[in-house]
Amino acid sequence: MERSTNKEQILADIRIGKEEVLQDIYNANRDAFLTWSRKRFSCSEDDILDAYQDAMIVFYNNVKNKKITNLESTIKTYIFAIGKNLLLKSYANNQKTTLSDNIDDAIVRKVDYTVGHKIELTHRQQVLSGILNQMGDVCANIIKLFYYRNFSIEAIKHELGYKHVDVVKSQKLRCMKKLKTMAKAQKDSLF
Amino acid sequence: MSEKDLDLIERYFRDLLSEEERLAFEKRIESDEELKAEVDFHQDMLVAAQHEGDTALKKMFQQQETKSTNVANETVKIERPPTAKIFSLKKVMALAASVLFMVLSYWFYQQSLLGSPDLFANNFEQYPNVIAPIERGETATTTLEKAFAAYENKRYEEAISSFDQLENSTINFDVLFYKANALLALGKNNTAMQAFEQVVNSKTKFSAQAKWYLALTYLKQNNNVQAKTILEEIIKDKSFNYQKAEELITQL
Repeated sequence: MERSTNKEQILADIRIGKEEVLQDIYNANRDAFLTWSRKRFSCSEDDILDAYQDAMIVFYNNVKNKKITNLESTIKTYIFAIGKNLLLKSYANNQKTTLSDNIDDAIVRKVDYTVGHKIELTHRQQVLSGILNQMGDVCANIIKLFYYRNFSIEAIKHELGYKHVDVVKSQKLRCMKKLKTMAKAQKDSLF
Repeated sequence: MSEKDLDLIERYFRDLLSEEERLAFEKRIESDEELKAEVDFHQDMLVAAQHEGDTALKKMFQQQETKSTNVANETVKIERPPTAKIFSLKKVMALAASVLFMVLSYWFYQQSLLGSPDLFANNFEQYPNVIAPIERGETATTTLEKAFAAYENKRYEEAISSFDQLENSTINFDVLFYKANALLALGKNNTAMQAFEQVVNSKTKFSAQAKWYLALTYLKQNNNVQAKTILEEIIKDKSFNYQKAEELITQL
C-alpha cells in the first residue's frame, strides 16, 4: 500500500475500504498486541488472535461509521484499547496482572463493539444474509457498498463506474426489490 | 414507498437526520405501518450486510495468518523443459545477489565520483531473473517463461500482463515481486510500492529483496524520510543489501 502520510489520509483510505491498508495495519500491530495480551490474560493463543482480529474489525467498522472520526492518538493505541476491551469482555476473570498500562480508554468510549460475524441473527436476517451470498455480482456489490461499507450513492457511482447517480439509485432499488422477492419466496417455502 | 421516504429511512439509519427530523420520523413510524415495515426491513438488511461483511473481513485476516505461516516455505513451481539445466535456486539467488551487489557497488563508487543527486537512478537495477532462466536460442513456451523473457528484455508492459496471468489463480508473492520490479522500471511508482509492500509483508522468499526495492521506490518519489526508515530496518536486520543500505543512508 501507499504509506499514508497523515492520519486523515489513513482514515480516508480505510473508509473507502482499501483492504491493503487494513492488512498493513493488521501486520504492523499484530505481534506487539499478541505479546502485550499474553502478559495480561491467561487464555489461549487462538483466543488472543481471535480478539485481535475482532479488534481490527471493530476499528474498521467504527472508522467507517464515523464513530472514530479523527485520531487523537495513534492507530496502534486505538486497536490496543479496543482489543483490551474485547478481551476483558470475554476473559475478565483470566487477568494475570493488574499492571497499570498506558492504554487510554477515553478514546474508545464511543466505539460500537458489535462484531458482525458474532451477531445472533433472527430468522429473517439469516435468510437475507444467505441471499446476499447467492445474489449476482451487481446487486451484491451495490448492497455491500451501500449497507456495509457505508458508501454514498455518489461514491458507488464512482467505485462501480456508473455514469450517473440516477442509474445507481434505480439499480439499487431494483436490487432491493429483488432481495425482498427472494426473501419472501424463501419465507413462503418455509411456511 | 415513495422515494422521499426511502431516502428518509436511509438517512435515519446513517444518523444524518437533524434532531427535529428524527423525532418527527420516529413519530411517523409509530402510526404508519407500511413505513414501519420498511424500516424493519432496512434494519434487518443492515444487520445481514454487517454479518456478511464482517465475516468476509474475518476470513481475510485469518487467511493472512495462514499465508504468513505457510507461504514462508512455499516455492515457485518452475515449469521448464526437461533438458534445461536445473540450478539450485538458492545458489542462483546467492550468485545473483552478489553479482547485483557488485554491480551496485560499482555504480555507487561511480556515483560518489560523479556526485549525482539521483540516488535512485544510480541504485536501481531490475532484480535478475532467477525464476525461469532463459537459455540462448530457446523459445519461451509457458506463460512463466514468456513473462520472464519479456522481463529480461525490458519489455515491461508485456511482462506485467503475463505476470498478471500467472497471478490469476493464486497470489504468488514471487511473481508479484517481479511484477513490482517491472512496474517500478515503468515509473508506476505507487503501484510498484503497493506490490513491494505486499511482498515484504508476506514474509516470503523475496521479502528481504522487496524491502530494498521499497526503499528505492521511496527514494524515487523523493520521500527520503520513509526511504531512510526502511534502510535503517535493512541495516538493523542485516538483510538483503544491508551494506549497500549503509552506504546509501549516508547520502540522504
